[in-house]
Amino acid sequence: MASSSEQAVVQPDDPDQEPILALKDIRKCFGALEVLKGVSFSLRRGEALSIIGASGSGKSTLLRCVNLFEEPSSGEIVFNGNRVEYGSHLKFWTRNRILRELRRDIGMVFQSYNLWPHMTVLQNVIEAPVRTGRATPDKARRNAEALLHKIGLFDKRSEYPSRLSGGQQQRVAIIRALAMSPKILLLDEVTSALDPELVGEVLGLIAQLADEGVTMLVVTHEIAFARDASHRTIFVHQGRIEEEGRSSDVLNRPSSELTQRFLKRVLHPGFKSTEAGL
Amino acid sequence: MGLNVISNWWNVVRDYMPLMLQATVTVVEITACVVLLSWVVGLLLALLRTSNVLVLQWPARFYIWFIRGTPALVQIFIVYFGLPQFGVRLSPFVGGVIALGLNSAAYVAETIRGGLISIPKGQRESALALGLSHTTAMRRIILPQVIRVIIPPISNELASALKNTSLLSTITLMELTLQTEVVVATTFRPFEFYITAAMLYLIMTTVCLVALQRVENKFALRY
Repeated sequence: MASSSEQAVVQPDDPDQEPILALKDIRKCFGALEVLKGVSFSLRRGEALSIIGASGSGKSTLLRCVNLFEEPSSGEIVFNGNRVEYGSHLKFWTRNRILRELRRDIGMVFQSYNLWPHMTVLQNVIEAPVRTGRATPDKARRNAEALLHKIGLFDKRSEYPSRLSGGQQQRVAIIRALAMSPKILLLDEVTSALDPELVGEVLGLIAQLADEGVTMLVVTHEIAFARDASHRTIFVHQGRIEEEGRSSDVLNRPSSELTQRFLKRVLHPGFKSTEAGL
Repeated sequence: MGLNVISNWWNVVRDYMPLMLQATVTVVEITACVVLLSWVVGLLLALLRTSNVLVLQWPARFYIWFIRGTPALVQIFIVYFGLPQFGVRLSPFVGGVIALGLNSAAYVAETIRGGLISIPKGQRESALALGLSHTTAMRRIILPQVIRVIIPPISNELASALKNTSLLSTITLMELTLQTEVVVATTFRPFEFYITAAMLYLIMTTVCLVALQRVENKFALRY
């Protein structure tokens, strides 16, 4: 089960490579509530990094800080070699421009797919590359069709999203993000809203992308997926990184007692579990 | 007997029909201008009203509160009789269109706002996450979805706007209601002529509602 073979294929463990993304001492408060209490980690090109943790641990907030859907209260984000400027001191227009440019390079996929219901599948995938000037309509269409072929939904290109299953919608949402050729893909619990029998096809696609070297940050509840498909895993507990390392190490032989307890709870969810407090 | 009633009515009304129809055309013209103005101003107000910026939100709130809390007739008088005191003299048509358009805008704004908040947050978020600007997200993703939900309430507002043009009879605009009053004053046949006016209004509102119903069906078929 261990993922040593995948790690041999990709080179994200190369310590000399400059990380594509680095977060340094990120803190985030909502009013008096401190959700992130100083989080630092980095992500290398081609690396798939899983973030696990209980609900309310701050893992989704952490992900949303990366594309500045949430602005950190303090801390530094370095993306693609540049320090990302953020904060209310920036001028309105400057700030909007920085956000747009950052988000064109950082794709994000959501729990609830969020496909646009008034556009066909193909229009959904083409919209952003065309509107942002990334590609001509012709090029965007060819690229979108290739991506739809890849996920086996080319036949559905003229359908509206409501005609697709949840799993199909989520896979379209993933290639919609990929159509922008982002440098990082953020996945925020993308299988949590799916019926159990549809989870596999979505996880399969993500694992395939990870194999192909798509750099990704995956917030997930799927421990098996994190272990088998991602190179490294971070366990977040109460706004701090409790444990970090190779996925096989963190998930098979966790060193922290909190990680052990969390894993025990999610892998063997007994009805009478009294181990609250995590 | 029924036929008799109709032929009696027609004998009374016949000679005045061209005048009545001309006034009906005037109603259509006013309504078209009022609706255009109210949709433009209404959209603007709705965007301000749903803005996160308080400085933008509050003027819109105040405006909507004022308009919805005062009679349209008083608003018309303010524009037509009140503004000349400050040197702003408007023709009955222009004054009427402005007053009714600004009145209707408040209701349109509330309708659009309802549509805006009915669109799930994720729709906008996914657009922003792809690097689209706020404006593009609004224009390409949010508003097309809003239009679909607001067609039924907006057609009600359109019918109200049309019927409210009768209020402009008070500022000497020769629209259908005032025209009917004038005709009644010379013929002394109020029943026949007010019924005729009612029928003409009914035809106009029905055409509007049917047209918008068609637009709604077309949208509903697509997705």
